[in-house]
Amino acid sequence: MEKIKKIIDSINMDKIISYLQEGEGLTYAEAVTGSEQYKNYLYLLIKYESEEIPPSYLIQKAWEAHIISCLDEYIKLKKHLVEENSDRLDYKEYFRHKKFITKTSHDIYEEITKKLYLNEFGEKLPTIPYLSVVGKYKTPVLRTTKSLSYYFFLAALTAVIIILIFKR
Amino acid sequence: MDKVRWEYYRNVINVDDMADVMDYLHQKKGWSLHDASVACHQYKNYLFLLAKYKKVIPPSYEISQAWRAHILTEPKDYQEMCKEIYREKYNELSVYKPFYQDRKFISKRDEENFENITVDLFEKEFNLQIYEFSHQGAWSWFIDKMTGMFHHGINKIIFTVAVPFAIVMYAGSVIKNNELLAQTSEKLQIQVDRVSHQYEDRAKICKYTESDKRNPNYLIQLYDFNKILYQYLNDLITSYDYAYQQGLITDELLQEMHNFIKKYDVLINKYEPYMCNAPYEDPETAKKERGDMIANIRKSEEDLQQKFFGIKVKNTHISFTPEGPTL
Repeated sequence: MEKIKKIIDSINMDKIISYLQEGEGLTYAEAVTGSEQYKNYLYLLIKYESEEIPPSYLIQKAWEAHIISCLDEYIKLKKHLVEENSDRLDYKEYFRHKKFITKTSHDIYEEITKKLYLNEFGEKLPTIPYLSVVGKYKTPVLRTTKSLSYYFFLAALTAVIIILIFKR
Repeated sequence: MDKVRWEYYRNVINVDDMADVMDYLHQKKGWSLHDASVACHQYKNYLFLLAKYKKVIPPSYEISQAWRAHILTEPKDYQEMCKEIYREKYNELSVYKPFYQDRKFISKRDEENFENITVDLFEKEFNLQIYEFSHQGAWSWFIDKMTGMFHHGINKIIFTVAVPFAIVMYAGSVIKNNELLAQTSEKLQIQVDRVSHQYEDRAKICKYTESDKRNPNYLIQLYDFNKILYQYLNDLITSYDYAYQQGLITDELLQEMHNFIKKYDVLINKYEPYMCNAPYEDPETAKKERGDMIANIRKSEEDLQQKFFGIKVKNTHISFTPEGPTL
């Protein structure tokens, strides 16, 4: 694991930090924290190979930034860290609107990721909610068809108009 | 000479069926299948422009999202494809640049270049208008806001307002349904056009690869293109399901189409192992098997073509005009 740690520590974070600032609108401090936590996260992924370990939102962004801004380096890094056909370091998307897409990944994050991270690095990761059913896109082709939100919006708008008329 | 090169770029780009990208945009980003497939199609065109003009041009928001999704979901394939089409410009063109923040261009210059260069090139090269999914943008914005509100406990207020106006909601739904009938026919037409377009693309590739009989990738390419086609047919079926719910299509026709798609699926599964590990050790057997397989696939495609383009619908305002591709 020492060797793994050394390889991970050698990742150049400059491009990642700059991408997080420019592309994701994070502050410098957030970008640095995110990239440091991401390195730790990579270590966890390799060390606990059989566990599913969902990342925090900030870590996910840094992971994205790493693949997008340094693709060649990322592919090389994968070669060094995992076996050729392993999907351990394949990117997985866990978030939408800064919240976990599924309750399962939220629960695993709370129970496993946070615990492992605390044990290994002595730091607490933030709590992140999961996306409620409302707002999730359900109809596969024409999304506008059955969404109740549309009618709620229509109702609220009409309410405002009626109230305004009666007030006069 | 250039024409052959552009054709080659097109082939390299088209080898990837973008199924993972579409899946990512649909499942993870919440886009509709229709929007995801249009974005992927535009993204492929965009890649072709980069490869042809060898310079960075700003993409639309949807294209940039498909681009990002492509790198994230298939990094190795993306890298290989870029090396093949950008060559000496690989380092410059393959790197994704964050052009957008909150759906708006970060730099004014990129925005101007998008208006002046990208839009023009799309029209010139593909006779296509590059468009933003404005309806989707507004809708997503609204959904985002709603989702945010629901998480902060404002749902109570929304429900308090919504319940007394249930009657208004009902009236709204009636109006909306009328609009939907019109929208449905339009969207179905788009889906049918796309399948037709895929057929044409595939036909070109077949012609291209058939000219070189020794090409061992022929079967694999054929398989890949059938896969793409299958993906689009699935989209089409989803649309028809919806149209059926709206009472635009008869039961029998829908059932018939489902059966047909299943048959096509079985055909693809049957030949998948053979196509992936195409055994070329015994040329005679390979030739025979290949011939049978191609004949089967072609027959199936002809049937599909007849089914989909000779379609009859109950409601007269949907007209399926494409004459169908010629293989």
